[in-house]
Order: sequence, then structure tokens, then C-alpha cells
Amino acid sequence: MKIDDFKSFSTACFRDYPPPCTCACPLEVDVRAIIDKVRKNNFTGAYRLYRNKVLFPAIVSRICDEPCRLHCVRGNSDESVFLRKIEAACVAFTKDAEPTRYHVPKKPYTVAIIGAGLSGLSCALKLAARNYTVTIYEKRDKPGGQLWNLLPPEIFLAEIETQFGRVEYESFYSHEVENLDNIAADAIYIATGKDGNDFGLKDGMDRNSLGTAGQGVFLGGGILGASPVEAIEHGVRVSYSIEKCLQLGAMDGVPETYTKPVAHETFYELPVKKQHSSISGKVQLVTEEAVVESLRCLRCNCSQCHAGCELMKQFKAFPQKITTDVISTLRPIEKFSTRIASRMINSCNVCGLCGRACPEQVDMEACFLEARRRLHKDGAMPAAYHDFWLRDMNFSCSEAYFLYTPDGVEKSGYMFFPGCQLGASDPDYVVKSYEYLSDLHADTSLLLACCAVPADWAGDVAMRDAVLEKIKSDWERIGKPKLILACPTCRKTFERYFPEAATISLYEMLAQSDMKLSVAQPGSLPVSIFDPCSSREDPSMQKSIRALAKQCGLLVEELEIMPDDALCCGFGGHMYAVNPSLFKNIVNNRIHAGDNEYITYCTNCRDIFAASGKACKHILDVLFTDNTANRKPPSLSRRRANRMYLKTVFAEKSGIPRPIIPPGDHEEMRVHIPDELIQKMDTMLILEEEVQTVVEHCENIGEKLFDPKTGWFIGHKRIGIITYWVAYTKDDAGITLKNVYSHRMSIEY
Amino acid sequence: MSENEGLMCFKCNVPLVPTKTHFSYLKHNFSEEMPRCPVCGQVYISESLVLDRMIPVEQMLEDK
Repeated sequence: MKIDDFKSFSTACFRDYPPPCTCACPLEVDVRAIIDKVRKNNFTGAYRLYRNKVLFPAIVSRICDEPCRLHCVRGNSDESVFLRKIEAACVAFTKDAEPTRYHVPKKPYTVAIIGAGLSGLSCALKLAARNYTVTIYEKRDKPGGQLWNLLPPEIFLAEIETQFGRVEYESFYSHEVENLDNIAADAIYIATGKDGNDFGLKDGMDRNSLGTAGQGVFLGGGILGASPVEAIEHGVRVSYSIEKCLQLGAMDGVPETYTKPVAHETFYELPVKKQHSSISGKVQLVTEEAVVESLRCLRCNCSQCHAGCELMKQFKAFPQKITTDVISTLRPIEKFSTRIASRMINSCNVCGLCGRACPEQVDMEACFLEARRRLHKDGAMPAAYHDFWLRDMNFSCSEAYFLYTPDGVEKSGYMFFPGCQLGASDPDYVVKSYEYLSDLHADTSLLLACCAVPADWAGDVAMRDAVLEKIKSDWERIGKPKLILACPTCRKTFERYFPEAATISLYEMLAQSDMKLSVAQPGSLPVSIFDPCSSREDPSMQKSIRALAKQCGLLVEELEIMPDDALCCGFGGHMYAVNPSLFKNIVNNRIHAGDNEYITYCTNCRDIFAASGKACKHILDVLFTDNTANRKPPSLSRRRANRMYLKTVFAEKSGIPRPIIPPGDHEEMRVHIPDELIQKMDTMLILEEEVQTVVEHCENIGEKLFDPKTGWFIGHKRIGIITYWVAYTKDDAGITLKNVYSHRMSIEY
Repeated sequence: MSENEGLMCFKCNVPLVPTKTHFSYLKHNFSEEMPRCPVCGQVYISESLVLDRMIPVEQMLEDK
């Protein structure tokens, strides 16, 4: 995939595409932009935008039949926005009505316009502004055509004179053209109006370009039954068709001018708060009234992804900006641009909600994951972003890795794969689940490992595949059993990268089984199910959880957004180390999404919410353990110790004796770490063993500082890519940690 | 900085003095004066320096 191909992730995004009103308008007036200006009392700016499209604002704002009002999204709720009245206000209150002066080189072509009604005049104005030689022929003695039936002449004649004030053209009034051959011109526009002379060219017309069978001759406006505003559009369209004809000889016109935009249905799903107009009876508005009415405009635009994404809100980004920034980041130009979006790319929870919410399935998860792979490949991924979790994954896949098969079993029908965090949070989750599963099927094996998603999130494809290789080879050796998965993210990961394995969720197995589940006494208070983001693609897992909840007698009050729009708890994508403020924001939003205690089935969701003080249980707490909803998660080091404990439990079941750890001859070196510092270390992703290593290094080598004021020793050591600092006391009681901190920068001596 | 006053190098039993120290992160190199032992070169970086100076620089370099 080439870097520029990243743009394809957002091409289907229609943000900033024309809203229903603009789509309905023959002249595609930029309603959103005009409303923006009016809201800020900038009638002059709004007037210019309006004039840009309608050419004769004083005329159009009086006679337009308002097709926009039929399509205004407000129409379904209260009243369509009175846009024409706002436009009339712009005409009345603009501080400057002078037409723009164009400086364009003279074109060596002559164009004849037959008919000085709105259509002919529009075409003439456009071409004259581009400095073609324009000649208007009008059979009456004054311009205006149909306008003589619609408006007082002093209004439209003055407007015509104003708008033509800065361009050059020739006009012949009281001059009826009877034969086109008498006209000396490179191109002709026949705009003779309703019942006008079509010179026999109406048949066989190209209704898109408005070209006739005659080379260089075009026809449009009232003669084709166009309304006044449509007639202006014809004139504008023909000006482009004529230009193409003069430059290329082609009569097929310019597609952008005749392909009408179609409004996306999503615009009609925008939330509308009822608010009737205060000006519906008024004919002419004062400025304040125009501003008030402009506030009723919803400025329709699609924000489906943005509305549900804290990242997009923090970075003020929509998909098109995201792909642009990603491209810049992957191709920084030395000394000119930087990897501006590296943090954003790594701040994503990769939950995929955006693609789900988008009417066009624009998928920023896929974009960000691919961008991470690129960054990694280019050696441009800041290692500290994913370092802790990669080390944790490696721990789960080496020291804590274990394949357990029951005695005498060589091939299993089922293999329980609890994932790396379930046992880390509480080994009983795994032990008790496994006991139950092995009662169902005695040959069930167990694999303690990590599904490799951390490597995927870090963009390290080679590492991800290497971890999966090891799992696959053990799975093959055990007879390719059906995998029982407890973690929805393991399931999502295996579906993508290990599709050959049949999988079933632990919860479906439990819900379908006939055996009685030992349940804790259900409380009488209602609970809400928090579906983890990765469960979104697995409705059967979501249903199984609800079935289990019902079996346990839980009273479930569903959260508003679940289960279809399941959200990430903040853990996804490792964004914690990249963007702690966004993480905090996300967690805060999640725990306040409902007042009830949460039941969830992803360990990270459970632990993150409980750590933030939200009452939250894992479904396995309801089924197997006695844990309360307020159980604080174990520290990072304890999570590792729990995994090792699980390994020894199952190793013993396999007949492998517990390793004998000789009595510590370094007992006096064991660092005592107070609880507050454990908590601090958890937030900084520092392990107890790292503190132990640094202190031992300082003590053994004698490289330490001393602060006589406090009596503390201070030292540091770089382990991996992080430098850790410790402050500690050492006395008869032993070594006590007093402070700890770290940094990513390295000290070069 | 007052918090560094009196800090001693335990190995050499001398007070620390401000000395030029070199750092690097993400292939960028720079130097700052840090309290260091004039004998063995051991350096001291306080937590407040890490929070107030180092971390913002790290973030800026990660965004580069």
C-alpha cells in the first residue's frame, strides 16, 4: 500500500458534502456557509456567497420558489428554515453590493446571446466576467423577459445594471434575430424564453450540456419550461458548456455542472430540538430577526463518527482530515513538516465504532492500524508508546506460557484459552472456569498465553505472527481443538489472524450447558451490562451474557448504547501511555454512562472501571468467584505473579513439581514498597522487579547519592528503554522505597 | 535549585556540582547542566525536573 493510498480510507466520507437544502437548490447555494456568516452578523460576507451562486441576488431573493423549504430537515420537526427571507436580509443589509472585478486575459472568442431574460443574462454575465466578447440580442426594447410579469421594473433593471457594472459586453435591443446564419459568433446561446423561437433546434438536444445539433449552438431557459431560478442555472451551465466547446470543440458540456448532488439520508436522522420560527409571518426582516432565524438552521452535516469518538473530539478531526494528517505523518519532509499525527495514530482505541456508526462504513480503525504498521516499519514508532505492553505480552508468551493437557490426553476436542489478563486479574477466574469446562468435557486442554493483539496494536506484524505461530503449533499438536475464549478481543484477534481455528466463547458454552452454575446470591439492585468494544461483532457472545445474567437472577437494565454500539473502556490500542488525558476522559465517560453496577466480560474493562471507583463485576464473579463489585484490581507486578501462580497450579496438575526457590540470601535486599508507591508505579507502568533491580544495582555497585536532609539514598538505572529513579532508606528494618519515577530520555554520559 | 542543596555522592563523599550532561531521545541529542559528582560523574535528576522539563520535551519529540 502506497502512502497516498491512505486517502482511500476516507473517500467515502461525505462530511461537508451538500446538505438537503443545497441539493434541492437549482443554483446549489452554499446554505451552511451563508448561515455561518449571518449568525455572526456578517451580512456582507453572506451576501457575497449568495451572489456568487445566484448572480442576481436582489431578483432571486424576491422570486425564488424556495425548493429548499421542501427538503429542509427542520420540516419534519417544526418549520423549514425561512432561507429566502434571510437571503433577502443579506441583500438589504450588505454594506457593499459592488460586483467583483475580475482580471482575466481577453479571450479571442465571440459569443452571441439571443434573449435578454434571466437565462441569457446569466450566461452573458458569466462569459463576460471571463472576458469573452459577449453580444446580447433582445427583441424587446429592454432586458428582463419574464421578469416584467414578476417584479417592478425599477428593482430588476437596477439589479441587472449593478451586476453588469464591472464587465464589458455589447447589447442590441429591439433587435429580433430571425436567422442564426446572420450572427457572427463562435458560439450562440438561444434563450428566447417561453414560446420563443427555438430555430428548429429544440429536438435532438443534449439535455445535460444543453447543446443542440448545431455545432456551437446551445439552448435553454424558459424556452425549455425552466422556472426563473432554473433559467439562471441553465445560463450558468451553458457558459461552461460554451467554454468547453470553444476550447475543445466538444458539445457534451462539463459533468460537474449537470450532475446534481444527492443529499444523504443521514441528514434526516439528525436530532432536532423543536423550535418554531419567530418570523413566519414577516415579509421583511430586520437584522436581529435574520440572525435569530439563522440560528434555527441545523447546519446539517454528518458527524456520526465524531459524535461517538473522544479521539475525534480531542483532535478536532473528521476522517478526511485524519487521512490527510496520517499521510503527512508517514511522509514527513525534512525540516519542513513533522510526524504531526503520530500521537493521534497511537491514541486510537481501535474499537471500530466509527466504521459501525458511519453510513458509508468509513473505518478509521483500519486506517490507524495500518498507519501504525507503517510507522513501525519505518522505525518511526516511539518505542515507549507500546513498550510496557509488548514486554507484558512476551512475559505471557514465555515465562508464563503453559500448555496443560489432562492426564493421558493427547488430542483435545476443546482448548480453553483464557487470554493473558483474566488470570492476571484473579487466577480463580481461570481455575474455576477450567474446572467447569473439564466437567463438561474431560479432555479439555488449557493454553496460558497471549493472543498477540499487543503486537498488532503496536504495528509489529512480525512479532504478532511469531506469537501466533507458537500458539498455532501447540494447537495443531493437540489435534486442532475448538478454542474456548473468555476475552472478546482474543476472539476478534483470532478471527482476523487465526481464522483456521474454530472458536466459541466461554459464555456461550456456559449458557448452553445443562450443569448448574454455582451462583452468588443475586442482589436486588439492577445491574447494567457493559459490552466490551470487541464484542460488537459477536452478537452471539452478547446474547449469551444476557442469558447467563437471566439464569443468575440478575435484573438487567440495559445501557442506552449497548450492545450495538459497544464502547472501549480506554484500554484498547494501548493509548494509555500515549495520551493519558484522553484515557482519563474516556474512562470518566464510561463510568458515568449508567448509574447501576456494571457487569462486563472483559477483564480490562472490569479492572479499569473498578480502579476508578465504579462498581463493576466480571460475569465470572457472578458465576464462580465471590468477588465484590468494588474489588480493586491487583498491581501490575501482582498481575504477573498471578500468571506465574496459574502456571504452577497447572504444572503441578501435570505432575511437574513446584520449583524450589532457595531461601533468599538477599532477604535484606528486598525492597519494601508502601501501598501509595505501588499505586504510583501502576500509573507509571513500573514493576516491583524493576525497582528491585535498580536498588540492587545501586547497593551492589555502590552507585548512589545521599540526601543528608532526608536520609534517603537516590539512584537510577536504565532497563530496556526506560530509566528508573529510586529514592530509599536503608536501616536495620531493611530497605524501604520512598519515591520512584522514570523517564524515556536516556542519559548519555 | 534549593532541593539539590546538600546532595552528596555516597561513593565519593563529595557534594554534587552543576556539570554539562548529554541526553538523547528518538535520535535527538542535547545537553543540560545537571548536578553531578565531580569525581565519579554520577548524575542527579530530580522528579520535578523530569515532570517539568523532561516529559514535555519527550512529548514534543514524539510528535516530531
